[in-house]
Amino acid sequence: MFLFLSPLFLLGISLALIPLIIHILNKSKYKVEKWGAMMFLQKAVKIRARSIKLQQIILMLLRMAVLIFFAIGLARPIIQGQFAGEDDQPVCTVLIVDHSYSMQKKSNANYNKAKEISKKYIRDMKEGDSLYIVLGGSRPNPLFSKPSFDKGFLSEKINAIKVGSGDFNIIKSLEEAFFLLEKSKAPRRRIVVISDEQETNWKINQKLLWDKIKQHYELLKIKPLLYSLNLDEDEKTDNQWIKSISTRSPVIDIYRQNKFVVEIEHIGDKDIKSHLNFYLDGEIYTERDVELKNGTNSFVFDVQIEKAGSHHIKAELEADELPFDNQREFSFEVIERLPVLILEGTSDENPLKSDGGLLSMALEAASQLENKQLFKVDKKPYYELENLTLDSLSSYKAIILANVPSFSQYSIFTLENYVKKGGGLFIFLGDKTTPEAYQKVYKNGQGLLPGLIKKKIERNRKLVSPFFNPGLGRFILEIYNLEEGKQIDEVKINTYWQVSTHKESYTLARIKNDPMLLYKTFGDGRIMMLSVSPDIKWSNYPITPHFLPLVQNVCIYLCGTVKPPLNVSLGEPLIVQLPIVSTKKASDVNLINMIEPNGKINKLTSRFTRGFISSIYKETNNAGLYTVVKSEKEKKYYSVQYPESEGNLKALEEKNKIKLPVKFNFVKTYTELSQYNLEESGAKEVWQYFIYLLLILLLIELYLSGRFNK
Amino acid sequence: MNELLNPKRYASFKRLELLAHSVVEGFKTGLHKSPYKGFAIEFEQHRPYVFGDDLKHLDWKLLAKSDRYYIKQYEEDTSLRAYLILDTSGSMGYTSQKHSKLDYGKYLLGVFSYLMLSQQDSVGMVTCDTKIQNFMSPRSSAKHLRNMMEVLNDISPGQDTGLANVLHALAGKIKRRALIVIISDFFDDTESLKKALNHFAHKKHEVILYQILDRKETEFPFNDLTQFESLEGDEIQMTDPVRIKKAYLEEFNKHKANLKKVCFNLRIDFQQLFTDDPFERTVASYLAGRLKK
Repeated sequence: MFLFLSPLFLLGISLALIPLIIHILNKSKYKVEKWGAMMFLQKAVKIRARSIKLQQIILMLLRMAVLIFFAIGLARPIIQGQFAGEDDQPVCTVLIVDHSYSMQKKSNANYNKAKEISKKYIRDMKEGDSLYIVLGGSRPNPLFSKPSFDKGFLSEKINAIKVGSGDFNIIKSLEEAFFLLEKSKAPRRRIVVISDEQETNWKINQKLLWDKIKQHYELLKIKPLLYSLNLDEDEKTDNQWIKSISTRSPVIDIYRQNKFVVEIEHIGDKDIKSHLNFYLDGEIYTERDVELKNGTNSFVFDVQIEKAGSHHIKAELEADELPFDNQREFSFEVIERLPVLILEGTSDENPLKSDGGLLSMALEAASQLENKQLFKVDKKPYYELENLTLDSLSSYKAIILANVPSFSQYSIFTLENYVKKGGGLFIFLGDKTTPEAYQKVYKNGQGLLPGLIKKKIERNRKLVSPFFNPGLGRFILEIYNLEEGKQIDEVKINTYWQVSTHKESYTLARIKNDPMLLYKTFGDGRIMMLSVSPDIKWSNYPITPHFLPLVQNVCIYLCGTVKPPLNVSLGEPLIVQLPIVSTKKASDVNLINMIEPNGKINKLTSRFTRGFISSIYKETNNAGLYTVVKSEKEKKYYSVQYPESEGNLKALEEKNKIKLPVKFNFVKTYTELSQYNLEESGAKEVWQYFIYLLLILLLIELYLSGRFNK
Repeated sequence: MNELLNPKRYASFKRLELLAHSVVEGFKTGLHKSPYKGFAIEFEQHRPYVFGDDLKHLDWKLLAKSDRYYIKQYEEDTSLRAYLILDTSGSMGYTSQKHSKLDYGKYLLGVFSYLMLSQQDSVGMVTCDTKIQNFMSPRSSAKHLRNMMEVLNDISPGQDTGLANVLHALAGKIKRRALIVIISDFFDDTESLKKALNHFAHKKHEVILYQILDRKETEFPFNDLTQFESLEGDEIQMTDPVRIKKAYLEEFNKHKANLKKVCFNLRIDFQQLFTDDPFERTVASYLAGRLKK
């Protein structure tokens, strides 16, 4: 069947109704003649009646056909397959050039080769052929939006391509190529992928995405032929790369040795020895020889940081054939103080009588150093919440609700907005808690509460001990050094609130089968809820050695939300937020620069937002350290991470090539590609035949109408 | 219709005399020659005497001079007796010009009757469609002309054409030989017409046919889709005239040719007139033609 390059013109087929309408209108529009010579007229009509009708229909059909063929001709029909034959019909190609950092292997050998082959392809383009160039990265990047016929322009674009630092998502690139080809008017289409054919780039396991691609491909009017040219002649795929850098603790502070975990991936048959340098704020902090086994190797570094503020570390591995992924940056904020607000149901100077007394003591006992302590605790009666604004709440990293009996609509609204923006909330239930009051906060699972409070359970001296679940409870288990699922026998609980969980919340600890410690996220913030009171009326938990680390670590965890993130993936925007130091000055927003990993300095366009000077920086196309400089002393570090999978240089296996839902022609050389192109049957534009037919029909119509009228 | 009686209109015909091609019986002595060789006024020729000839016609003088027997033959002048038959069927009402065919026929009939009466001939008039509508026996009085004109004045197009039947009936009704002038479009079956005209010829009448046509009927110049509505009945025919023109003209010309052939075979004078032809010139030219014969 035909496909159409300008299918909108097919609407013109409706013009074929015009002759039909004229025919019908003519029948209703006639003259009346009083006539005497009817005997001759009737004889004549009797003879001609059938032929007149036939002639009229023939002429009408001819005129309709003329209009239909005209519309079809304008719609530029093409035929594909065996009928098209081999001919020189123009081809539109999407050249997808692998722009991942693996192309830098062996001093950019594949990268240079890709450019050379692309230029050859451009040089060999025939008259009428057009080309798109798409840089294949995590997200495809078309270098221009309309197909170009200009070889000079195309070669310049190829020359201007610089090495990439991301991965290569073939599925997304194909999607983009299909989209671009749909804009083309060429009757034949091609997609040529020039890459090192890394298996990770082909996302073989992403069956759903490939199925989507296949569906899209099937929907294409003109199906492009797909080619993959593998640049990598090297069978050797050994590589080591730094997969990730992370911290053990959600909060990095100045009081403790902070643990940083560096994960190194090694792909190779043999274990190898290498050397790992660890930098803090640009200076070497420590170094060590490492032995790398096939797979993931983790190395922990204890780092004591003395100064609060923005810092960055870098792990650097001994260079190999692909040096790009042998180093990785990581940015973080070091905390000196974690301000926490305790809102208590019962306030008393005696900590044992007030609901927040023991909690306050537990937090204040956390890390201390030269008159400094990690938590700065403010304690207020719960009704003070009515007087607190969202801005004043935002100065606390976490809020603890200790046995709060009731909430006003305003306090619920303020707390919800506080948590949404990244604040932490720790809810302790107790004897003043009422299910009715907390139901307003629960909001059928859509509110702050991780579970619905049902009834108070009193064990009548049949005391029970809690146990912690695996999964999210792991970080609690690490505190207690307990095996998963094991009870904390020292803790004895007599009374607690029975709580039912919601599908969006998680149970970290249980009393029998009832949840004790629940967790949920709300907006950017985190919420924990303990179904036991924070005093000794219901259990001995607050006076056991287990209570203090629980409160401290849960609060650290709740405070650990870093929003906006300091470490982003390649291509993701960096959201820069700097505190307003004193008063708002124009220089605060006008004199902020961003230094990219390659040393390029860009001026940041910033503005004042609630308590911050903020800006969004989208040009994160290079992996590495990005430094925001407000003044010599005021710097903030951000890291853009290269994708961890790109270091795996394993090539796409033959068996997987066959499994691909869309058919690719895999070639190794440009000559092979050219040979394939020559053998394409492709497609052929046939609009001119419709115009010829139209002219023939016009002539027939003219001849017949003349003849019929005689 | 007073126009019919306008003497000025017929002044141009005063000089012309209607001379019938064949001599008919007449009861008035006029300019018309009798076909019968009598013994009245003008000697015509001699012929040899044969046994049985009346001896009173013997030319005794010639016998005395030449001793041969010859009989004297004479020509006798007679008055013309004419019937003017006008077809008033619906089709005669057709007009695309100033005058309908019926109007044209009326003028023609008026002219002929005036001329004939002015030369002391007897003129009768018949109007008909499917049957005889008016029958006026031949008279030669001036009053008769006025009566005829009054009748003509009241005529309007009638029903369907049934000319052949009417002519048959007339042929049976007209006993004495006469000049029969039929004015019609002759849109009737030629076979039936042939039989009717043959009936006249058989009775030795001299017949003249005047076929009056509208130019549109012979040219069929219509281009747009047209609904033709019969002037003689309820027939309606919607058609594209362009497409049937050829077939129509073929049918029309076939009919005309057949009619001419019938006239030729029966030695009947046939004349075709168009309503857009200049009236006086057409009639004058025709009468001049008849005079030469």
